[in-house]
Amino acid sequence: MPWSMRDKTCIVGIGETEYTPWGQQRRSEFQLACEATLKACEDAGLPVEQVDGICGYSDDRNNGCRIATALGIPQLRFNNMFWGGGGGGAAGNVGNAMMAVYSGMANYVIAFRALAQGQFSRFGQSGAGPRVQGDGAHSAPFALMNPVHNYALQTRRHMHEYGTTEDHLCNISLASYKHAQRNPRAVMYGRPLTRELYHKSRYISEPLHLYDCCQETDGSAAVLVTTPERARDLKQRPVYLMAAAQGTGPRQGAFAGNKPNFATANFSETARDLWARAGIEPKDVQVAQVYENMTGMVLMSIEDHGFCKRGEGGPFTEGGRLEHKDVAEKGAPNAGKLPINTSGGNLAEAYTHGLELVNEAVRQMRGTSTCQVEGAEICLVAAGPGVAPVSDLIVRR
Amino acid sequence: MADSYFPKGMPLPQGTVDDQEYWAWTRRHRLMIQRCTKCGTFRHNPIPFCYNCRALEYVWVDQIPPIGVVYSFTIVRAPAHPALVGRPPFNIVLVELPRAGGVRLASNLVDLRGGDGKEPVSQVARWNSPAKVPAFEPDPKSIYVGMPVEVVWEDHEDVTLPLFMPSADPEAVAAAERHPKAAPPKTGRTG
Ligand SMILES: [Zn+2]
Repeated sequence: MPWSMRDKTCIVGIGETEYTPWGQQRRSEFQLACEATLKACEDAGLPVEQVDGICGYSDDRNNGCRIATALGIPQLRFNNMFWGGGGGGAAGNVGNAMMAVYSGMANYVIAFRALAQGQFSRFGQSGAGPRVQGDGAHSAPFALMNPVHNYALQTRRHMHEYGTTEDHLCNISLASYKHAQRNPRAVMYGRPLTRELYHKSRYISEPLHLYDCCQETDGSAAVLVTTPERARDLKQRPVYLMAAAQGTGPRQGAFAGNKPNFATANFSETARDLWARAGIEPKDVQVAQVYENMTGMVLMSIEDHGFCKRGEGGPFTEGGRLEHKDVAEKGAPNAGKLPINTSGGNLAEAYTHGLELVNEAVRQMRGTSTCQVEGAEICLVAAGPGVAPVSDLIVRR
Repeated sequence: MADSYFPKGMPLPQGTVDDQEYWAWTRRHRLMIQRCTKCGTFRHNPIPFCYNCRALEYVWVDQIPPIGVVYSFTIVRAPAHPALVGRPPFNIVLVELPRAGGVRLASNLVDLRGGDGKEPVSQVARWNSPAKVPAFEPDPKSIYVGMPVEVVWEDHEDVTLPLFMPSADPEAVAAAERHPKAAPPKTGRTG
């Protein structure tokens, strides 16, 4: 029996501010959040007064009630926070909006992320004081204090167990950078990456180079979710939410390197739910947005979602498979077989904690991407590899 | 020579009700890992419940000798804390403890043999001797997954951290030999 929520809700509007490198944005983060919300409504052709739900994640500083107050929204019926840090909620945030709409808790729900780190503290930089307690006491004194360190350790372990190489990681970075060269909104637009440049770049935390790591940017992105019935009165053709899933596998919250299934991205259980709910398999997906905190985690996400077997993620990236066929090297044997992060993603478009990936998934389904995959009908969004909880979304035309 | 692997200003542990006993043991240069009395499952870092059977009863299992095997490692090249500016490169290791069901500790690897004209990074105490000895930054290329290691203690004013050094202890070497070998690199550079 099909999942009860399959195709029962849809995204009818996307909005985003301009994306700028860390620290350059003069408008407040809160203003950016409101702007993205307004733009999503404008895109949909919905008066903002009709918005009655707001969903956030990663402890977003911009509480939905503040946004509703600032924008004169007369009644907020649903104000929601997805637990967990980083990008683990980028898809789950939309999943929560979906549940609110499907259940009737609210009619038009915004799911958003705003991030202007230049105005606050940098994400991933430790501000740990002279004493740390609890989980951090077993990692921070040894300088294990930034996500890049954890992902470097996981990636190193994957290399040990499966023979994955830095060249495989490079393939993931190249895909994002090549796609960004066709996207004028991307922060790395006009700044192409080559394999040589990648290998020459400095290490941040070995085996991860500078180009394996997400950017730090300022900006905001939002989507508007409602029912297909209500969508009929709006401007855009709805993009259907086929399935959403969120959660975590066993003991993935264990600190100091004690999580089991160490060389994975923690999607195994969530992805199993996702495919079952959508009633499709990995081969039915023509394009995917796979959150890049660090490239090694993208490789593990691809394995977790069953696009290839465990340990085969490295070779899977070869032959231009992750690149749109128009940007892949001439004659690349796998060109365009599974283009990922077609706007440039976290690495090269913007680091809006993955909500920009949801927007790109919607553009692919509308046929308006700057790296449009011909005939794309279904797109996966996999959010926040390696964190707990993670989340997934499948959208379709 | 510094007194510690990292410069002053790095965060140090402060025990909570859940883990203050662990830090009291490290202060006495004993590496103790919690083991469930009911089902025998080891766990780290210290927590009240056994995740396998929910029992509250546990014992501290003394790691003698306190040996381990490097499960993974990274060489850090960019500082992530104000106290670390100018300090990289340094290493972070995850050490698997074969005497404690394979639980892992996050730590740092030091080299007590020194040499190569390198500056000592800190003074640490050998686990079986209270004598302070200079610790050197190990050659990053010498660290590998599956490396046998043993504890060295780094004493701070009121807390002691378990660091590790390469080990020739027969039990550590045997555990390292049991550790899964590195898979050969997968090739292919088309892209
Ligand atoms: Zn137990």
